[in-house]
Amino acid sequence: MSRPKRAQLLLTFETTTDALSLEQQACGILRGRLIPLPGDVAAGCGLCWAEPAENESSFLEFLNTYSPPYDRLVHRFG
Amino acid sequence: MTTLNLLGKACPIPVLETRKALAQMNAGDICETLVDNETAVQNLSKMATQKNLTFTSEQLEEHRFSVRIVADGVAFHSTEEETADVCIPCTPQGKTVVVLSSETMGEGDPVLGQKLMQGFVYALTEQDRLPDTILLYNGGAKLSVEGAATLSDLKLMEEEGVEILTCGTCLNHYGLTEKLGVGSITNMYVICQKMSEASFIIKP
Repeated sequence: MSRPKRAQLLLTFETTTDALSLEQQACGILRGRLIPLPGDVAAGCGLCWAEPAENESSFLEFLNTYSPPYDRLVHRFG
Repeated sequence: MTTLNLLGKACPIPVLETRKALAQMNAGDICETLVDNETAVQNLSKMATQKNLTFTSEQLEEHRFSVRIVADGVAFHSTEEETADVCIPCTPQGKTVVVLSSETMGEGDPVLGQKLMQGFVYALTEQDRLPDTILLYNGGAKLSVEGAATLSDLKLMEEEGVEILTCGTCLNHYGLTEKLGVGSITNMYVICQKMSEASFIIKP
């Protein structure tokens, strides 16, 4: 059986450099991780940051504080 | 309209049952077949195309597809061989072994290569069918040790019954023997045996 599905926030990027940069910034702050961009989400970069939905407020605070370059924020169950 | 609920049935059953139903129907009648995987949709579509039957398919929800075929009133007189010819197996038969021989995927930028490998292991956990065995050797041995970004994904797969085997010689070489975080240590004979007995070997 594959990984159980759960609610996530996906942060997509235009470039891989932006994705890797966010991963470095988020180290020790966020609970999420970089994952391959799911097929039903379109973006310039094939990596995206997946944050558990239950951590949404901290995640939004992080985005406001650090203003990392990103493309879109997508709510997804997957 | 006749609806066949074949959710949970692997090919060729959906194709066989749909043919059987169509054989009983009059021209213009619609046979709707419900299946739970895209391969079955492809097989049914291929069958309809081969018989010049009008059809539509749609995904109703996750793991639930509908294929509607309009009968032409001509009975099917297919043999099992014909059906087998139409069908792509829904699931691969035999054992699947994933070989991770490096901590990076592909050649080029090693930082990108690491991210790609981490992404690959994550993507493995999302496959409908998990591999039977994952072999890790040489640089790949660094993926199954404490602190590795891939460790949680490998643990998840082990919990689901995937056999995780890491080369003992390699762990020793990298000074990581005490750090193995998932699965067990193996040797070249077992690595060779697992690969020899595999029907499919996936090596990113």
